[in-house]
Amino acid sequence: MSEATVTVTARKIAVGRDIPEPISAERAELYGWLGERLAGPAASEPSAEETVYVTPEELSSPAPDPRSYLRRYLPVGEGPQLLIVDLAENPYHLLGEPLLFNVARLTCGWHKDAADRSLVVLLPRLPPDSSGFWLELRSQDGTAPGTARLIVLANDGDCEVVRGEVPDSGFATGYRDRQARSEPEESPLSAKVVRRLGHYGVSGHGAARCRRYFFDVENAVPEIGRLADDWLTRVIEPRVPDRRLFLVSRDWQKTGLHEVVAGLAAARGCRFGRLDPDGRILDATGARQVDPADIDETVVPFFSVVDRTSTYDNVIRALRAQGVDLAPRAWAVMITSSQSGLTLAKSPVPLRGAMVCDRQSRPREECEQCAIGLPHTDPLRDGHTLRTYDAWDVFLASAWRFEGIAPPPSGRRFLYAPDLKEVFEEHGGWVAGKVMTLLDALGFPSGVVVICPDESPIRLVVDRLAALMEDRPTVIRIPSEVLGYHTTLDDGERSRHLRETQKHLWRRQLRHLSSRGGKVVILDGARVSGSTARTMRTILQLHHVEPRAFIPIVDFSEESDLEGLPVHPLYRIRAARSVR
Amino acid sequence: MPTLRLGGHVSTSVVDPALVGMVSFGLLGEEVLVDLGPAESFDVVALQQLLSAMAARARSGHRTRLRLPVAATARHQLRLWRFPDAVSAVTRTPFQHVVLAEDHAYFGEEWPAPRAGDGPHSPRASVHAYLSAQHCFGLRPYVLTDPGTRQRMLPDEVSHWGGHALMRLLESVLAGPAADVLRVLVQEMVSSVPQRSHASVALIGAQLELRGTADGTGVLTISEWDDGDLEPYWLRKAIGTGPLAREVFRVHRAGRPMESYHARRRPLPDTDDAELLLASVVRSSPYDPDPSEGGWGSHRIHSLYKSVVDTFRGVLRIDSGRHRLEVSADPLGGYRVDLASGPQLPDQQGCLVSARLPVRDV
Repeated sequence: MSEATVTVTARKIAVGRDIPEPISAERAELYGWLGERLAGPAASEPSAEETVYVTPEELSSPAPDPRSYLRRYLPVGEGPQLLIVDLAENPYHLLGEPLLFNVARLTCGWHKDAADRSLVVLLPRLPPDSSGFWLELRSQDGTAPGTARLIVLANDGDCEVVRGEVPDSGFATGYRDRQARSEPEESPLSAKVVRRLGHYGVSGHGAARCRRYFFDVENAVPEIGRLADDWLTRVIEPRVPDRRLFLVSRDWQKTGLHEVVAGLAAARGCRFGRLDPDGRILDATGARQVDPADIDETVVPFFSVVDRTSTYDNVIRALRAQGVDLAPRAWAVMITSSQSGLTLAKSPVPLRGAMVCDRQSRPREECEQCAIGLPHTDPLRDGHTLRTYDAWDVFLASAWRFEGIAPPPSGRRFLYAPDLKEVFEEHGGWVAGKVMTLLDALGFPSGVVVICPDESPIRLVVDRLAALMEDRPTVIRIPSEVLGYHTTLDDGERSRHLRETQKHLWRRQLRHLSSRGGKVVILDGARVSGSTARTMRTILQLHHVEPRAFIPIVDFSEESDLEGLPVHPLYRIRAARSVR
Repeated sequence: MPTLRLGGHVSTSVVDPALVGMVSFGLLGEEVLVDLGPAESFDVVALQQLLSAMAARARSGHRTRLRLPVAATARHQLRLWRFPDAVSAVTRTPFQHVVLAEDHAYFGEEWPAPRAGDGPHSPRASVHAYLSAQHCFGLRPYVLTDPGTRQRMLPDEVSHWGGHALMRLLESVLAGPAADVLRVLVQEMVSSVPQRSHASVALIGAQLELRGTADGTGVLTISEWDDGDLEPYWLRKAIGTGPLAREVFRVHRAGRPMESYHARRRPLPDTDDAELLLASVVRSSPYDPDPSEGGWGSHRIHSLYKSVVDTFRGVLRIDSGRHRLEVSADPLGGYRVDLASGPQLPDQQGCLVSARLPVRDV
């Protein structure tokens, strides 16, 4: 007689989100692996379609209680079952005590209702013993009937078997490795460093020069922290036998690197200071110089951006001249010349750069922005609008072609238009950084919901925006067919199309957003006739969602609003074509 | 002008008698000068006590003036701790109008140069100095009558406490997981503010004392004061079904023998306010009915004392009216509760909750 099938159900709970979102293929595969390891070949394919979500408002309510909505997602029916409750991809700090207590209580109740029900709870880390999460779980009899199990797993492989048989020894480490693979790819450093265009003056050594870019590392603090920590542990600490270090950071325009290096010093219980542009060692506040005679530790220098070999050599010379014991290597977030990168790696104190990007500078007399009298941009104050020089520079550098994507009414497309996909591929981080600044200026909460067409140019910006905002914006992508691209649907046909897409995820997402428009913004690459934006707004209105603003990256329209909805373009070019 | 002088290290033991005296000498209805001239350093909870008294006076239409410390380091501490912003927020008066005119000369002064041997000799003193310069410690005021501020309060605090350098520092010195400072303590303290009726201003306090002693002992204080009601009504809402089986509370009160409370013997909330305060802690439980459905909802107090005492081995203190309650670990097992009441305590306006967590800085 064949073994009864174990029905595997996965419920991923997304905390601080406003709508259900799809489950990634990697996550679904992880659920399949768990089912197979815990229930054997009798495990069914796990059913998991989209997330069960807890809104930010519910989180800050007196006692967030997922019972009201999680209950209806719990599997019902007879026969052996395995339920996977997945909270592992949420930031740990969002899993407050009331939430954890209620999730544990509800799912534990489901587990106890029948003798053949197993439960696995996935968490980012195991909460301490005092947490209410354990109250209900640990009050269970440790011996489960039959093959039932109750297991709690953390991302680092920590595993607590609350009831039932302990899985084999490779289970927890196997889970850890698979979990790491199924996570959305950890934002690589390059996705978090924003290359901002502008007109940046360089003063100091030699002739005054101008640079086209400023590399902003402020959003990349966790990534830089991981890389710098790893380098310090692997490269420096083994070479400094007494481990007595004085970590110094050189970044006089922003605080991101100071945050990282102060964190490294805190973890090691060692001193932290700063380097001024000339290589003098300052105290942790940057307010005054530290007497080199008071430094008896090994000084380890960290740099944010190193442009030239000569600048680096001067700093190292200055450090040596102060008579301090210097570490045998130094570290930089970025070296802005691949040629310098090679030289610096071979200098007497080799410099390791986490990123190498080319950035040219030119003397002021050769700078065309200086020639037309443009003032220097302040790297500390970056507004949300694009400067005309920057906008046209990136447009002109892209391929211009016949406007390929345009909604009806057709036939009135631009003969030549910049290829926004190419622009966003090259400058998506910078544009996304501007959108982030704008959202902040407009007072949007971190859990903003972005509505955009599901087309490649704006998707590039949205992906970079998600990386910069730690995946906090929720995105609803409306298919281009619905918006009328490539088609000549009339209104009747569009309505029919809308009806046909009732079951699509974006429709369900909008239904969940119904009557909650306060945090919704429409985003698009460009507004030309305004037809796409109007269609998006109409679709939102059909779902009783009133957005707060429309943000086109480039606005070609003569209109300053969208039928009463505030419009905040990053750049505006008055070049209207027919509307409606 | 009647004067309240606060000198030396301004802690609760200094502020308590001063505030009691302010009332008993009949100063409540007059213009009062708070003279911080002889003050040398400050405890963040003591400043919250002082500011709550100034807030209460401002609400009653009474004026309070301030004399700034003579010691430059003390003035510097107040500046780093955003004391001027906190004074303006609670009195609804620009700071320069509160400070005596002769002290205006201190505005905009240079930061004091440290003298040789100044500052704690902690291995993490430089990181502490960096974080202090970033205004990481001290007072963060929120004027809750502004809906935007009310909405921003929790995300702001989460962003503040989630800072990279601060989190790494706390990971290296606390007895429990630093991530739980953010997940439990900050969230529970801040989330409870909007639930209290009539809260118009809140002050979040933070202080990290790294004393640089050989054994590395120090204290992290996280505190919250707001002018909402911690009145019998609120306390009754916060009374639940606890204590849970196995939990024992040994309660110490001046002039009374120690009393033990547990699942079968609970404090009665209907005798007086001290019992009510005690019951709100001892009887708190995560099993309460959901407050949004008209239940009690004592979950937050339960989460707070479990985290402070069990996870971080610290002390949770609640000041309300003329009552002060402290929960800590009892060496005999379970919890020790110290409950003080009476005229020796100042009348605490609003609600002041503070957690003091031991740190080990070696």
